[in-house]
Amino acid sequence: MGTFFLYEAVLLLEKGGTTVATCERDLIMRAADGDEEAFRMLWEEHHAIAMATALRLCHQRAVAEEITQGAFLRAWRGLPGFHADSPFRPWLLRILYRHALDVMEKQRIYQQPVSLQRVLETERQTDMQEVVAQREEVRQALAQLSADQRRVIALRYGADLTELDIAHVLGWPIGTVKSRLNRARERLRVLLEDGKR
Amino acid sequence: MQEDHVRQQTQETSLEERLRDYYGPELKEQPLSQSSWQQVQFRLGPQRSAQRRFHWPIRLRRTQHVPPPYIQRAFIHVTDEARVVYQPGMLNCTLNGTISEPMMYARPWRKGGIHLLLPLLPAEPLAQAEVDILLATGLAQHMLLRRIRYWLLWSGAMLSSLCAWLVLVLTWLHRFLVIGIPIAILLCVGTYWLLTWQKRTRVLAADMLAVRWLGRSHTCQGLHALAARRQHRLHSQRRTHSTWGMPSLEERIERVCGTRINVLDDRLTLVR
Repeated sequence: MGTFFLYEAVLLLEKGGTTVATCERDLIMRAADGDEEAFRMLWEEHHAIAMATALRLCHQRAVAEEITQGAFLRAWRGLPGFHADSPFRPWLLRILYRHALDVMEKQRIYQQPVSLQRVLETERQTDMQEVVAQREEVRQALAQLSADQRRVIALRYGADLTELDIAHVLGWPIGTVKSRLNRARERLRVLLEDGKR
Repeated sequence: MQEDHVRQQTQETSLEERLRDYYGPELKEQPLSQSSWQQVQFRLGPQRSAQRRFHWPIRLRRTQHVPPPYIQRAFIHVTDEARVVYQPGMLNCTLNGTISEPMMYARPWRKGGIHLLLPLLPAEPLAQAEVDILLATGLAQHMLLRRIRYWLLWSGAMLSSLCAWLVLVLTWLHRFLVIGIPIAILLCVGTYWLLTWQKRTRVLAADMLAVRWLGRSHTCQGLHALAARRQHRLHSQRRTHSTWGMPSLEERIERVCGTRINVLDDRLTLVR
């Protein structure tokens, strides 16, 4: 029999001024048993990317922080049922996507006008006024879609997920994802064309 | 036909570009502050075993008598400003899954007299100004409740309600309920009015004490932030609901800040 290698996620974390290599699987198992310090280490490792993902979806720092915190809380509660050998980040991000979509609908993010300040929170470009105007048009068009259509659009273009990934995150059949995506695109095309006239 | 196909392809490409522009490029990592982790840590409950067949998806209440560090620090700061000796155990915190806004209530007893109720999953993280105003008004109400005037008013109200019961019993025994019931109702209404008036004046007096300790600007910021949170929850209703007789947040903002603005405004000015 040949030899094979077990590859485990190893985290390099700062602890007491020194760098410590910790197996992520161990952290997950300890956190699943209620070890808050182990969960804090998972937070240290993954919260920044979670926050970036949430911010890209909702464009508001305060909302993105709330989404990130909510996702980690849901992850904490789901840890006892999580398979510790699986990578933590994709699972966390799936939770985050679902939670982000719920929060954005609940807070009616798409009903709130795009402001210069919010655009500056995420990026800096030369012609900011034009960027804001363009985004405001798209925002108004998105506000007229159904909630489900907004979800697929957000995950497809705000998180760069494939249709299969979207189906996995939302728990929908792949055919449903495709049809909603197509209908959403068609509706957006009509709305943005009407907006130009 | 080919032209239609080309036009459609162009439109699709344009739409794809616009949607990508709307969401923007992938962002680099966005680290959060330590207080963000502290807020998460405060809301972690005990871990549930994966072997349980049924468990509540969200724990509705978690009592934590020791407040989280960021709230403790804010409370110590408030007690410093109020020239009050900080005592551990003075402040209790509870997470509640049935409320959506932070609330504070005060009791006159020495230990655990100030109770902060925080929503389990708030719509937005609590701003520092909100925490400060809740703690300051909580401490102020706790101090006001320990004054002799409160005890006299409270005793008067209890005496009034006792009289109502006595009147009911006596008139029932002597078959004069027709007279007894209206008198009892009047006494009960009087008791309720007295307690409500007393609580209302206490809330307004607590706001004035908070202004003295935190400064008017910071107090106004906190009140505005609480009002904005409630408005956001009620989807932009013009006035917030309040318990009958109790001052609404708008009224408190008008009295403290001298402005009718409901939304948080960086340029808070006192118009008096």
